[in-house]
Amino acid sequence: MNREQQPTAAEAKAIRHTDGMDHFYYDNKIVKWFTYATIFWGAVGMLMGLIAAFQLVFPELNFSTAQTSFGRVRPVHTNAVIFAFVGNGIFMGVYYSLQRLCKARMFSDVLSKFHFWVWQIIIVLAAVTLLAGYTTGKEYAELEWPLDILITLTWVVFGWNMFGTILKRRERHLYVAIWFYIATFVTVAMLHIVNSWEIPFTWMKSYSWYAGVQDALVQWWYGHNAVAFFLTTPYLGLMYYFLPKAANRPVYSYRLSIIHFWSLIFLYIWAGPHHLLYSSLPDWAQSLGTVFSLMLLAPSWGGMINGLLTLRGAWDKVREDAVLKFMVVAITAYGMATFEGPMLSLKNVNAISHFTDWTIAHVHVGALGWNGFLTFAVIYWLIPKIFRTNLHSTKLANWHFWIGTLGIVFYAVPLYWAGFMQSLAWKEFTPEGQLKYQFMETVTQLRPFYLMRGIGGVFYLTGVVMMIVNV
Amino acid sequence: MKKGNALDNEAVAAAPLSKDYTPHAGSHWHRWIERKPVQMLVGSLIVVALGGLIEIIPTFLIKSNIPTITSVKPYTPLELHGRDIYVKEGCYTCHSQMVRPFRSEVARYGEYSKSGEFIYDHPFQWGSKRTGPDLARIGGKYPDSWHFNHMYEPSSMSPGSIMPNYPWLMKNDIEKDITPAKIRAMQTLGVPYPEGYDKIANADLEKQAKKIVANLAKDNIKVSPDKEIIALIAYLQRMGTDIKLEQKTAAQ
Repeated sequence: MNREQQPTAAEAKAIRHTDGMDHFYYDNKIVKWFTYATIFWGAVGMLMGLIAAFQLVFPELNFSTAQTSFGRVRPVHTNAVIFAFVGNGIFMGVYYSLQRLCKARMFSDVLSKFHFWVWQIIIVLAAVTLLAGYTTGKEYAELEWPLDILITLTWVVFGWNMFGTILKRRERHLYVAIWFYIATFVTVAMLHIVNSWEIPFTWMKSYSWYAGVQDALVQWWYGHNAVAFFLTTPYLGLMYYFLPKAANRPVYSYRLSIIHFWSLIFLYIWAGPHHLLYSSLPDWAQSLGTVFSLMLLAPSWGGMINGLLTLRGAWDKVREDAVLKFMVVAITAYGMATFEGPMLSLKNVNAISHFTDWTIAHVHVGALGWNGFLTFAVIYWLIPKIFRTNLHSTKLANWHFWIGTLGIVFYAVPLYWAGFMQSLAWKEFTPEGQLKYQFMETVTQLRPFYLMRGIGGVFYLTGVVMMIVNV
Repeated sequence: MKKGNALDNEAVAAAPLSKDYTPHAGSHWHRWIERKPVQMLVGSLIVVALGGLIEIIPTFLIKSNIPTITSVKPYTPLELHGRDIYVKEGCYTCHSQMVRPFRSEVARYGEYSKSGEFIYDHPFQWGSKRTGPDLARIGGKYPDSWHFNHMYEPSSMSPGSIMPNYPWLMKNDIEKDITPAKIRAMQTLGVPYPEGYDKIANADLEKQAKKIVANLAKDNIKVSPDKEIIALIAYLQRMGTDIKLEQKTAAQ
């Protein structure tokens, strides 16, 4: 193994000028760290999900202990997967692609390191405090106020570092991926600060500033757009960078990317109230939520189409290349989830799906398919690049792909069935006008479905273990 | 990773941006903003801020959006503690507090939920998933002792239940020392407790706790009034009853 001279830290930051050219270094180390963190927290977050899933089948797994009961484990699972797995995945992809797209090293190595370590510390503190019972009780925003402040600080550092890099770029035009990164940064900041506005009364406990209906509206404005601007827009940015790279094709349409970028970020924000259909939220707000959710289908599919058509003429590569396979399924899952989303926002469909496992199936098509698979694709693409070698085993990567896909199917199908079945059972009356089923009957009939879902989760996690071995 | 060795710093050469730049004639109009990251940032912020502003602000400004109900009163200190335990244990991950206006839901749970019922709920706890039944109208549905036994071991009261046991609620004490801070925080948020109520709140709390303990004693359950379970029972029994109260008064 020939290990050539690596530059020292000071040399790596320096820029030399010769013949009108700047000579400098990209920072791959920070990308490598974020990749490790993505893989590690992905496995942890999915394991927590697996525990929660089996707790619903075997309640003994709650162990009659506060720290291990479902009500505390579930938020750890959701927060870990969203902010630790996908969060680190975003940073991994952004720190890699931004440097290349701007032809510049990250603005500051110190900020990069600060960002990395404080984000990991937040994740550890989040897991500990949530299991200890410190929660605001607002979904996906459960972390208490000191952590909220720490998150804000770290997010500002991320934005500062990103903008510093953009401002000293050597490429005049910002590529579409960067538009998505910018929109992500500014919107997540807005959502997080507004929704987490709370009044502390002890050092770890606070009350939400808003009450009742307003709290619900603000929360789902946040909650829905956490999906939009944490799970979707940054990942679309990653798609726009890594898909053309992996396929070695230009993006299908520049015009489409303009239209779908602006319409997506504009429309998404309005869609929050579709989480509150038939609730006590004023009807006009519910209707707005429904209408905008329906319109959202167009820009969402704009993104999907732009992604899939980028592969035109390259489909033969998909047959062999695990990276592209993961990407194709990811984009397809994105398309399915964003088709289903508007459908679930129709009041008559929502009346059936809401409060059931249908919703859980829906989000997991997005999380396991879109976010998970795109992350895996990026990891399989990045690691050989950074380590200047080939993947340990292409065969194993293909195995990961198939067992992961199978896992998604085993996860989603039983839950769709379970949700639909349970909802209809809740609504069924006898000819005499009595409710036909006791609530408990509709719970016990779900246990086999919950078991199958858990097995789907095991498949998916097995795939991740294969990836860990492989890279 | 083992096979390769990491290239931590990747050498690159690129031409610096020249100071004088003239855009090509006839290029797409959108190219302009692609050269201006700050304008891109501001533009995105405006575009994303609009929807939220238009949807959220009216609910604060227009009174008819959330009609108040006179019989809806703030939580008692004990109920407030109970509510915080409900939040702490993540009950909202499996139970909703929102009866939708459907025949099947009204028949199962009771009167559908009204926006005015939640004006003191910081935070709201409507939930998004019914792994267990809705709890918006649970108050008064079962005796205190049912809740006590159910929280200790749910399957003892509802065979087949997949809800966890909550034995620690019978062991842990209510954090009475922070009652005043809770009341003051709520007052800051506009919950109309009388002035100086934070100082006497714990006295009210103990009074209500003793009542529940006495109730439980009738069913041969012995428990100290300081335990978390008492606060949780107080909250569960309060939930959704403000409106029932109103219907009773209307009937009289």
